Amino acid sequence: MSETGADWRQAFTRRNIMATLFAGYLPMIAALLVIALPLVWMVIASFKPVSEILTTDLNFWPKDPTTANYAAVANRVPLGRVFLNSVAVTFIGAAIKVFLALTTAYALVFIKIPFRNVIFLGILVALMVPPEAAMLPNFLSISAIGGRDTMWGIILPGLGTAFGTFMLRQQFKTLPTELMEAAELDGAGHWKRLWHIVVPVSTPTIATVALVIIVNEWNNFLWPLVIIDSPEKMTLPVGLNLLRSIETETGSYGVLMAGAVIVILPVLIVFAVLQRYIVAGLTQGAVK
Amino acid sequence: MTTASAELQQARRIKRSRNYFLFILFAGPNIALILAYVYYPLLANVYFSTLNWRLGARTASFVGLDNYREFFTSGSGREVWHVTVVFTVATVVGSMVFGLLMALVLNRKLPGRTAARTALFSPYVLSGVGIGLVWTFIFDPSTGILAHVLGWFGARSPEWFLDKNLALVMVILVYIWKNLGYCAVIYLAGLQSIPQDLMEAAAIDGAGPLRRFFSITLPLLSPTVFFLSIAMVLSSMQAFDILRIMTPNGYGTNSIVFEIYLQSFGSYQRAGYAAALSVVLFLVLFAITALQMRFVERRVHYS
Amino acid sequence: MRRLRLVLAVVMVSATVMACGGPTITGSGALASGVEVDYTGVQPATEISFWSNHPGGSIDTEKAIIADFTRQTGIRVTLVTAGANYDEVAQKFQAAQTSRSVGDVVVVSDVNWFPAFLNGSIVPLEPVLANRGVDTNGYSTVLYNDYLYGGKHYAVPYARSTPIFYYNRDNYRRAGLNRAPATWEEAREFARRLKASGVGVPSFGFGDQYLAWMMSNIVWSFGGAWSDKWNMDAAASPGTRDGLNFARSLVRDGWATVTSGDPTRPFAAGAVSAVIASTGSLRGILDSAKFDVGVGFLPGGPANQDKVVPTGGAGLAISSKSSPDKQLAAAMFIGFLTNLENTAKFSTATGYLPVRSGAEMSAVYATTPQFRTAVDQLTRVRNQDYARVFLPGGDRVISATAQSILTTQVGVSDALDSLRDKLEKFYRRDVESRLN
Repeated sequence: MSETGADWRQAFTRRNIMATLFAGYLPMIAALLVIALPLVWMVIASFKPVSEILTTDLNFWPKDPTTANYAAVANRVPLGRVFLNSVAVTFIGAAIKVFLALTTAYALVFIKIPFRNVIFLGILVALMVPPEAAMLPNFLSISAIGGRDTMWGIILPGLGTAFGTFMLRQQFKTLPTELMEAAELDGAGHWKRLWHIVVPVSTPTIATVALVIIVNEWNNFLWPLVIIDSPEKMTLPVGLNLLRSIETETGSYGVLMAGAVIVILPVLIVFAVLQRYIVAGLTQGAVK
Repeated sequence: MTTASAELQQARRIKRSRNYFLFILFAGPNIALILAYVYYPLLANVYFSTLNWRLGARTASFVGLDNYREFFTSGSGREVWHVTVVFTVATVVGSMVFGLLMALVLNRKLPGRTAARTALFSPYVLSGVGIGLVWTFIFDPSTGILAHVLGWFGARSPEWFLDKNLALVMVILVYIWKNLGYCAVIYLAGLQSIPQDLMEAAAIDGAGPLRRFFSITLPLLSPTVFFLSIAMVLSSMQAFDILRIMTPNGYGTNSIVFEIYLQSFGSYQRAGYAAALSVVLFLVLFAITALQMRFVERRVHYS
Repeated sequence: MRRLRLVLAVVMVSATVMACGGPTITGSGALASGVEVDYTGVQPATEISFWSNHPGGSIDTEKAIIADFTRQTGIRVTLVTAGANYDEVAQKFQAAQTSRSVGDVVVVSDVNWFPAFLNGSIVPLEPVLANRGVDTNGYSTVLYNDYLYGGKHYAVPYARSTPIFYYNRDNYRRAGLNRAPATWEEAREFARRLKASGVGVPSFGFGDQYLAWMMSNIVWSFGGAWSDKWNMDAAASPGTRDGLNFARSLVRDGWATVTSGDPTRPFAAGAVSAVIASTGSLRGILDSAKFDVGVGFLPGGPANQDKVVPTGGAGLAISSKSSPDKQLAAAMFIGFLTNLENTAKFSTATGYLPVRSGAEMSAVYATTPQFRTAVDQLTRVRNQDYARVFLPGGDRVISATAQSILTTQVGVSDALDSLRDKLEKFYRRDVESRLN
């Protein structure tokens, strides 16, 4: 989808210029403004002091930019701790999920036992169960084994991964059988075959799956909200929710915007850099 | 039976049990986790839904199907249905219509469209909590930017947070904002799979752009439309983050998922009732997904 | 053989289902009987946790008092922010009953202690306080007896309050007014005079928090109530209707406005001339308002002028899940936190009522007489209606009804009839069987 010179010229010919402008750039720019302005406003407001938030006259740029809002976030909520919790939960959770997805998908495709399609169907059905419906019993089970208010309590219920397994199984099925047969003849066991042959070949898909899982793990809100009590153990979204409950003054929007920046910016950066994989991963399902 | 074939049988049996063992080794943990944290909760919910139980209390009483009866007949239960249906329909239609419009725009070979596509898609991957905070600020009736803009036209900002209906409108708008980029990108993929010669042939035949759209584009897009509608319905029915951040008490925005949360962990703490709602939620989503699978299967056969 | 295996499988599945964290099924949800705890020979633990929401912005005061306590007794107290308000703390406390670790001392509000008692999650305090020699006679009787049921007390008063009438003295002076209105009719008259004198902001602000509490005053003033003990008909009575109609007319006619969130914020910012709010917000308002803050008694009404003031705020309870040694340490802590010296400290830092008669507050009253108002108002206090404080979910549904009456076009009689039905349903379903 590269914009060639021909495209450019075609778009701006006399015949097309009206269409290009009104049905093309105008809506495009309008949409971009609608999408980008709130986020831009978020960043700008996070640097405004209270007086400029509470004001009745609107200024786009801060007249007196300050980092006090970020300091306030760090003060109300143990920000460093919370950020690290998010990082830890995200990466540990994602690593385990990807690992499990790899081994499960491999088993489903390459270890020939009867009923494996039935088992795959069972895993697929699990994809249809919304995590919110399982929230209450999971809370009770995890609570009963002492997992309330712990990091592993956050990670554990989500580890049973159906999405990753599904995607990787589709990918593994496309591998040529000769590849695996050659390895089997060479005497390589299943474990070796998985890590030395299948994984290297499937890296783009694995990267895609991993990225989608990471993004979802980072944004995860409902379950950590339910299972965590103390601010020191919270992840970023839950910490911000606490901030929202505490900061009820109208002037404290600056603080809330600083919080929003902190939770949104990492993903935005990752997305900007790796958008090709992330978009592919999330839209894969449409091209069934 | 000769010894050779008996040995072959024996070897096969060993290989099979080795395979069983390996399969359990490789896939076992994942399956066990899915059983414990996805399937078991379904059963547990059915059990808990028959109780009148305050979360954390040591005792509970059996009430049979009363919780379900209450959900389907009481005023507050009907309110949850109302909010869920309105929210779902509005967000699905909104996201898909605006998404399609944007996809049509992006389908033109205009320079800069990949960057636009990326930017449009980005809200989909951002945290619902962060987005909820930003839009809460924008909608704030006294200090929000929306209130300021309305002030330029001499209008007073509506009380988004105090009025049930306005609160629902507000979260619908935010949710559409978050999701239309996803719809646009999927539509774009669908649009680009439409053979160009078909469009050119129609143009040569004298069909105007509108006619071409409704007679060719839309029908060929129907699998995409169908897939998206299901995906969006599922997504909308599970919406939580934005609702919880913008309207923490669920005043006017208590869709079924939010209600489950409020009932079990909010001030009502009626775990039995919440479990009943969870069962209903699962059944509805399961029915919708099963419907989709059946329909897609049939479509594939036809084309 | 296959059928047997199927049955076995079903049985095993059901067994696992019921095993994991579920409750025991009883006949009619009877009260979880509290086992008498035996404290003989038990020594207090050396470490406990305190679940608080730091009412009135008191986190620094709480930390200071905790430090003193540890110095004196050697018992470490972990201060946990269990929520941003009383309800969140109660919800966390309730949800935590499913696990093994719960706060030992927990802040319980006027509407949260009774549901906790119904669940058996807090202990009656007489035995454990007596064991540690905490003097309960020194507590203000009306405040301590708010936690009395069946002859036992389930909490001690901590951050106690009554609502008071805050007004912007600068604005009032402009209108030639020098005191708070004595009745609600007079409040409307004051609003007219404020507007006439050019004060541009609404004269009164209703918030959307704790409406059931704040509006007890106006409902009582007009002869109504949320309930008469366990009889919910009062919620739909003419007096209640009149009171809420009056409140709605204030909003409709433009004398009052409804703001989202805590009404003390717009008041301190000068956006309304008066609010009714807890005395616990006094310190916060005095610190942030840029005008002269006046306080007065709550107004009366045509039916009642005297006993029209509800008490409120929170007390301290001890979790029944804590081991006996932790319960003893907890008893020592709550006794310390509410002793003469510390209740004065707490009250000075927040505005909440001192919970012991004889607390040394004269210096404070000399410099900031506003602190006396809630104390003096205690003579006009009346016990809160059961529908609000004893009915689980009652406060929420009453507040929601009040909010809809103030902000929407809903018919007042219809809304109140529906409220009464809901309250009765809650009573029958969640309380009646457990109390008998």
